[in-house]
Amino acid sequence: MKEGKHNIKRSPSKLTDLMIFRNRWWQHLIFWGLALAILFNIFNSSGSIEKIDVIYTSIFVLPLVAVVYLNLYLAIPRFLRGEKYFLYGISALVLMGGGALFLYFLFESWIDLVLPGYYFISYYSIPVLMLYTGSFLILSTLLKLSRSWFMLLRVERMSSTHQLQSLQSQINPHFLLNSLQTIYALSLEKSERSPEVILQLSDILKYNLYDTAQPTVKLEKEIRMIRDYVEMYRHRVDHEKAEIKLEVKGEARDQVIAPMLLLPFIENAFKHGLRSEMSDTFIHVQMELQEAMLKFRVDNSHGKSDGVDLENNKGIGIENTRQRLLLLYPGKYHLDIDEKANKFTVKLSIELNP
Amino acid sequence: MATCLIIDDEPLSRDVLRKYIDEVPDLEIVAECSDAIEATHLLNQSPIDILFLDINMPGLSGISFARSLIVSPLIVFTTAYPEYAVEGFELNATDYLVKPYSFERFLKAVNRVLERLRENHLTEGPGGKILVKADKKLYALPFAEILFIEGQGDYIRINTGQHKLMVHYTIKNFLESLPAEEFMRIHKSFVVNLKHIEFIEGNQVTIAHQVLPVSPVNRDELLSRFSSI
Repeated sequence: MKEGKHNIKRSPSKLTDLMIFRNRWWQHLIFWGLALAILFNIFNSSGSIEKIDVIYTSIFVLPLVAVVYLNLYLAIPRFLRGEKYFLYGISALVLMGGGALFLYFLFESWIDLVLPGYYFISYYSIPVLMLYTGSFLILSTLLKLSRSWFMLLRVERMSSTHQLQSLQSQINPHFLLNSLQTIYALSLEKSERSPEVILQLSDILKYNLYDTAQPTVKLEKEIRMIRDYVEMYRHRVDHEKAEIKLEVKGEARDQVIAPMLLLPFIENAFKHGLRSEMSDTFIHVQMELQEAMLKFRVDNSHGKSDGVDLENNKGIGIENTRQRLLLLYPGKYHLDIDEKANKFTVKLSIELNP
Repeated sequence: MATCLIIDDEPLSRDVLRKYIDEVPDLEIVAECSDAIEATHLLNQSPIDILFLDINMPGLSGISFARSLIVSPLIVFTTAYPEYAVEGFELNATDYLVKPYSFERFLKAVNRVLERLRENHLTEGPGGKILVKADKKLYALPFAEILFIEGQGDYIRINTGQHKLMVHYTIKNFLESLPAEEFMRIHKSFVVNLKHIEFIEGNQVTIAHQVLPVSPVNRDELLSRFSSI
């Protein structure tokens, strides 16, 4: 059992390690393959493939390899990553000049010592050679930068979806226990209401377990969940002391909405609305739909409570929803929260995506 | 007879408690309140033995209410918030029922309450008893009539002269509800009423013609307690 868990946990990370490793090698091989082909084309004057040109290109590319890898594994990590741009500039110039000088003297004199049988002519002056080393240097730096830019983009995207998920609210476990208590009480009395309440709770759970994993859901579903949620409370409260109303005007067609976007406001209303010490508490939920425009309003009685915060997350639900609105519906919503001495009002108008 | 007060803002939760309390002949409901403020007045008017107190209520929470009481009845918290149990017991609560709870679980709380009332000498009458539910019947078993208890996993079998009752209880929990001076665990699966032991022979005791095993670890204690009775 333990071992199985261990295996499951390890194998994916090993796989990604392997893929990245393989990717890197292939990337470098392709890069140098292309470089050789291009250089060969430049140096090959006759058109037919000559042995001497192949050897010349192969030798010519070796100092470039040194320049590129010194740049990638020494200059960039040491200076560019540490944002020491001046030092990096100097080191780049040194690499460029050093490479060019090396190439110049290589074909000028040293080559004869290594390969005495061939006769090479260096066609290039030092400034032209610097153009070569410089291009390779700049190219490798740009590739490195674009690579890390993509990585950054991916990390950002990952963290923003992660952030969105963590902002999305979930059905509170206390709501679940309280609902089960309601069902238990009703079934103990053999009430005819119990099947209905069980269905309402299972609808809420289904929505929570399956639909909320999607980025958007049909508005109809979110409204139905809210209706079930409100109904669950209606069973629980004392009807003489609390008035609960839910009104939906207009018809939900194919509009979609981010799941659990509206519920935190309703949760909040029940949490504070019914906890006030006034005898006449109320919660009014109104929704009005005009094409893509959804107008949502919650009014609830709002009295003093004794400060023992049972949920331990006062206002977090609303604050998270505010963040979600900002991220998911930028410029497409208007949220107005008004807190009076004995009344709390939330007004949200939001332009939904069709 | 112990007097009870129910404080819960949800009518359905009050219904459940009322139904439960009505089934126990030793308990009597004095009043039901939907908030703690209403309860304060009631507590001043009539003596209450047991308070069944919800935590999440309008105005004043059950925790704050319990804290505000100077002379407190025995408190049993009833709530859908398991995380307040520690705070509840710090307030010297007798038990903490997490909604929804069964009648059997409720009985355990009642037994604890009755045990405490006995300790405080608040109930009259000779000897104590324990409430158990078996075969859908409620029994009030006087401790003196219990011969021995046999544990079988999550269930125990209570042997009295007349009955053998299967009850949902662990032997450890049940032992806590019994007076320690009269009962003793003699084996992993057996608790005996010391007063009913006929004789001890080697590693066995005989109660009402039944022979029960004694663990070697419990033997010395059993012998000394048996002889001092």
